[in-house]
Amino acid sequence: MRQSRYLLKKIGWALLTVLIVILLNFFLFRILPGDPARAGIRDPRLTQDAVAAIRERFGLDKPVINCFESLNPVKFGSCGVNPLDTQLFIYVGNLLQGELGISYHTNRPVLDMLKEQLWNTVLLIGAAQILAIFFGMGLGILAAWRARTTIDYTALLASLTFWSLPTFWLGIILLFWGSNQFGLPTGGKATPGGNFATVWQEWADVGRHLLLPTLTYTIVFLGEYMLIMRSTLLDVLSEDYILTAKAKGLRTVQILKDHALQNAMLPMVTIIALNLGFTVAGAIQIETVFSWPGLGGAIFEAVGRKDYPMLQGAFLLIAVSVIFANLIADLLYSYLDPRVQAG
Amino acid sequence: MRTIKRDAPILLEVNNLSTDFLVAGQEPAHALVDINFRLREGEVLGIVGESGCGKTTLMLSLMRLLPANGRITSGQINFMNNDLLDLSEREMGDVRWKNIAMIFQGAMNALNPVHTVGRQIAEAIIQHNYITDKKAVTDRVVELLELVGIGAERKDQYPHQYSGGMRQRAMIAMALACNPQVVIADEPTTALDVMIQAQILELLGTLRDKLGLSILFVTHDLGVVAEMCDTVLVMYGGVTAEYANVDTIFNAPQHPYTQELLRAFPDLTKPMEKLISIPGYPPRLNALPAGCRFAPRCPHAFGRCHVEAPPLHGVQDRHFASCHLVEPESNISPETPEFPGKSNEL
Repeated sequence: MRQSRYLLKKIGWALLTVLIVILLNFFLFRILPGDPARAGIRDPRLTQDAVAAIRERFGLDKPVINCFESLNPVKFGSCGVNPLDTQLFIYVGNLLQGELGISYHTNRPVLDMLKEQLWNTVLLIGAAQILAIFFGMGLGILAAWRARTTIDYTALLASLTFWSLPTFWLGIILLFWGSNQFGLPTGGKATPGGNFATVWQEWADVGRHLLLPTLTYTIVFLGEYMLIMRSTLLDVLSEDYILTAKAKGLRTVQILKDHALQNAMLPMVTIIALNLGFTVAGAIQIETVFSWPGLGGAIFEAVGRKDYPMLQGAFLLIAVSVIFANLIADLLYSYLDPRVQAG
Repeated sequence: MRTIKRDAPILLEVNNLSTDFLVAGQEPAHALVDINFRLREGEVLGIVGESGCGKTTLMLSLMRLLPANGRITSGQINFMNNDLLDLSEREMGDVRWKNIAMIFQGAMNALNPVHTVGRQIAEAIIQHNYITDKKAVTDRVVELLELVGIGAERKDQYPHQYSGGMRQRAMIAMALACNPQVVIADEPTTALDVMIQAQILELLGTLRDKLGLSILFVTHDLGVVAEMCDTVLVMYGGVTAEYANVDTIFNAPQHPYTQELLRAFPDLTKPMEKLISIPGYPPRLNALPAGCRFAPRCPHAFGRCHVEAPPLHGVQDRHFASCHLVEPESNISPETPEFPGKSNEL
């Protein structure tokens, strides 16, 4: 009962946040100056009719909202514009049908473009995150367990170094080293014009391309996870209940497994959730360095081209993934720490 | 009143136990120096002193649970004729809780907040192979909880759903899980209100009588000592100030520190008497006075006290005090058979 109420409350808040994000996102791109027609006006060859046609094609000829006066209940419907025939209403209506508009640049539906790029990004980030979480946590546990020994100091120094490395710089160095020493590809997702006999060979080619960006990303995030795991675990290990566990005659491994890790996981879950949400966008540097056809690279390009529908779609996707990751984190909290639901 | 079983077999015998804390770049701090005591079957030994006198350090030394910078430098902890200091870490793990269990001060944080109380009690039972069958473990958990007055239905609740007193009861139930011979109670009633304190003390008293437990009772409440304990070890600044049975401590204290402690405690038969407090603070371990550690606060201190630390003198049968003023003509040192425990007829 209490569990389902907590669940409903959290899901409700997440939906409300998504709604606010949709509205903010919509108005953000209407406040910004510029649209494809205006960019075209500078081109003298474009006739007035053509400009109007472009505006109409992207729905920019319609008012953004019907008018502020119409929000006043007394004067409701006073501005003579049908509220159903405004950009906001059409945008929300399309959104509900799963349409994110048409890219100014490629003239393709934004949703299709995002789908391809999102899959590429998830491939890259998913692999790297799993590796970073696994090794970062492992190293953090080892360092906390062997606190103030050579192992601890070595791991600490390495993690601090990794954490403070600029992502793009590390990417360039690894790119240089990997392609030079091991002949790894320098960019892209697959060998251009590659002809593969089997699906496995095709996947192996993608894997070779994935290697360096994944490594870069893993190293950058490993340091952060290690540092947080180590410090929270050290905090937990100084708690009274750890002394109780020792007095109960439990072995060190049992104490770590049964009494320390679960308690230390709360901050880790927060960081992982935040990172998962943000990395959909945050891979821009790596994707640019390695020419990886992912979401980050696409956003980078769309900014340069003022491709508003594309950016609007990408921003919405990022916001929704951050909100979703946080929702998952909230639900995990209540599983990890029974006090969360009570509070 | 209970009679002290003077000839009961000795369970725990601590000889000249000394513990240091290592501090980087400094001389080690001598937290415990030459502590001696005997605990017999069914005996409740009170360990009394102000905060910072080494009471908890002594308990953690007995369990070999000192923090990383703590070192036991000398002495013996003989438990049922085995020196606990000779055991490997693994063997010591078997002794903990199975033979010597501990009730910590402030059960607030002594229970893990993310596991149910029942699970934490079951864990101790399973660890020491007391019972392995799942059903039997649950039965035992219920039995233990009922022993301390907690309903069986609350075993699946988390510590934050318990009140402070209930948490302390659950802690006691957990301590009894493997039928230990010795229970160390480290200020079990601190941080509880007086009503709950009284309930917990009553519970401990009942359990002592019912199960024949030997208890090491750490406290700074002399009222609790009078009610619970058979013998008393008064500690000051990491050394033994006085060690005697409870009647002697209350009626004929020899060490000035014990006398001052008693004067700082309200006496219901003399309600008009003014309470005193002992001026000053216990010494910091890194700034110990040269002679007797109590000398700077002692109302009877004289020249020798500031130069020479007094050894533990035997005052009379089973009564020891470390003060130059009680020095007897024939010095009874801890090595002589008259020291408690060395001789069984005492």
